[in-house]
Amino acid sequence: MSVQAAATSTEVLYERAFQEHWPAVFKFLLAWTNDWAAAEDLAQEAFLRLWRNRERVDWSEPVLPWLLVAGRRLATDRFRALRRRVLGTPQPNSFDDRQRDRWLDVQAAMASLSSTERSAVVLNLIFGSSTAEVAELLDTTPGAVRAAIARAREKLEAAR
Amino acid sequence: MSSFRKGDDILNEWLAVADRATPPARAPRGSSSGTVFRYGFAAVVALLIVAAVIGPRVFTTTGPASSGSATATQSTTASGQPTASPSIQPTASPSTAPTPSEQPTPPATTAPPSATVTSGPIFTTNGVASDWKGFDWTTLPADSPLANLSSPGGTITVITWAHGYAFTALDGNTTDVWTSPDGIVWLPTLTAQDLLLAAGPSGLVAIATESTSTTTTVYTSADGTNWVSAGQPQGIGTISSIAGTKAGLVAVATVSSGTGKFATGQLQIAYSADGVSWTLEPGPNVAWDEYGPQVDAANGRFFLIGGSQIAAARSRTGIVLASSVQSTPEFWWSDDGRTWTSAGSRGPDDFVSQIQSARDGLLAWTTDRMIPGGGPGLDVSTDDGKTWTKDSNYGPLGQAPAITEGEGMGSTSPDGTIASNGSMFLALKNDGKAWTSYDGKKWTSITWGGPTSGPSDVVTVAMLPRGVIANSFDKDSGATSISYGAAR
Repeated sequence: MSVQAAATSTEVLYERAFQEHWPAVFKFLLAWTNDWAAAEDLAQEAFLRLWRNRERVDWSEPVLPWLLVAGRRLATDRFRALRRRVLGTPQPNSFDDRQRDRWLDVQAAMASLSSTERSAVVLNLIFGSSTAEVAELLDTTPGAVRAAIARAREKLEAAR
Repeated sequence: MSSFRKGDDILNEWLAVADRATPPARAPRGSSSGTVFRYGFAAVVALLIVAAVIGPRVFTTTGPASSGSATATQSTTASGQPTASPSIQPTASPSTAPTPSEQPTPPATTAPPSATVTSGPIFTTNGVASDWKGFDWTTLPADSPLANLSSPGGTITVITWAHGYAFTALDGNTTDVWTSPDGIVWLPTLTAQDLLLAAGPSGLVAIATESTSTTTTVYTSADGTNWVSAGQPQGIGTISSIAGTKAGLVAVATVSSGTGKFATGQLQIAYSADGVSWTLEPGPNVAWDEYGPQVDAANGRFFLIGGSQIAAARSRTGIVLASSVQSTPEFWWSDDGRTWTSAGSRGPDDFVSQIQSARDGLLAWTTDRMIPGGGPGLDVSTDDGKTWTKDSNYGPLGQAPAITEGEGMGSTSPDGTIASNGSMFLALKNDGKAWTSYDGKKWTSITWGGPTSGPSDVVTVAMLPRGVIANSFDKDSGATSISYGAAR
């Protein structure tokens, strides 16, 4: 395979990854941040990192875990988090008033959960990932994930 | 989503809203200035102002308390730890992540089965139990029970106890407890969807938890073969980790307090002599962060690892000006499971993630949560965890080639892998050299002769009492080969 052909190949793979995985990456980061605009930004940045590393990524492996972990690490960057807290972030522009109100209600309910609790419960109950899988993605232990899910469900019960 | 409980209506609503998200028209490429600096100069100015006004004085840490004392153990960790090379691979194993194009799938709708006592296929692992010189290798057929062992979190944790050995391993969607009286003949004796296993004063204790439920059942076994259901654990909430020694059992659990809208779940440390009746304990009096603590046991001693929260920043009037969820590492030990002593102060990002044990020493793998790639480090203790020494060379392995750009830049990683079986450590360098050690400091060269990592091959090892399981994965072809090396 020529160098040019390899470069073209990774671009195609990258484009395919974007089309396939953006919704999952966004949802995971929305769960982690509980912040629509931040999740959009972070998903964008996660894909940018993939683009920059496209020649070194092992494309024979599923790339979604790479994107989720990269996104989580970007989201936990201290200065990035502080910046968001200082300046706030806008709500989704594409929503009409009713949709925006709906999102704000859900956001308020989910705000009682920590990032780990939100992510664990979304990955486990919505994505269907096992506690072991969630633990790998969140860089923690299956036990901690079980605890986070239990806490999250208790909080959600109370928030109804 | 019909299987969600009533309280999960919020999750249904969350999913309905999240599904409305639309991806950007084009996949991002090239400069990230449009997103990274979305808030531009104003953000930098605001940060500088906040930093100047708030200053370091308002960022305070919670102060840990301490105490400590007493007995002997039996549980250990074998196998995997931070992988050797991946410069840009995230720590998550690709094979375990949600599948790419998946639509969100609902959880199982049927009530999961309770744990069952089983007597499935036996496997045998021959070899000597000490003073390993090398291995006699056998490639395992795909249908061998030994070839299909995997464990939650990717490791096999061998527990050594009065009547032999035990570990848990995944089998499809369920988890099995495998027990052996001699480390040679293994039998699956208990099956449940999710199992936590420990060896306490009276024998093995298994906490069976179904992942879609908070209901747990305690099973006990005095001989490692026959299990008895002891009902639900009393005095404790949802158990997330458990460890045992001859002194008792310690668990980390989520305990509910309050009712209705005031109900909250708190992470608590609990002690039990039998695994059924639990007493909540103050533990080391630490404000654990959202990851929560994990309890482990090695060489007769309990360990609590995790992080504690740093208080939010507040002005003199009490108004929160800015807050940042930060954690500081916590590492504690206890001999009685009730009084805890700090295992020494650690750097701000030096979190212990896993403990491995051998006859005369302990290894603690550490991670820097803020460094992409984890920045794995290794600490060694030869006084059963009271004091620790950093080993930047990762025992005999040395460091893998430095990562100079991209994810993981600036971090180091071992040039191989270290496993343990509670009796000794095994270090396998990526070039095929191997060593054993009883204390983690003095290493003896042995002959490996098994599969090794290469440009396209990744080898992981799990250590059993009388040999090793080597899993060789060819990244080019996707082929997997699993071998058992009987120690000689």
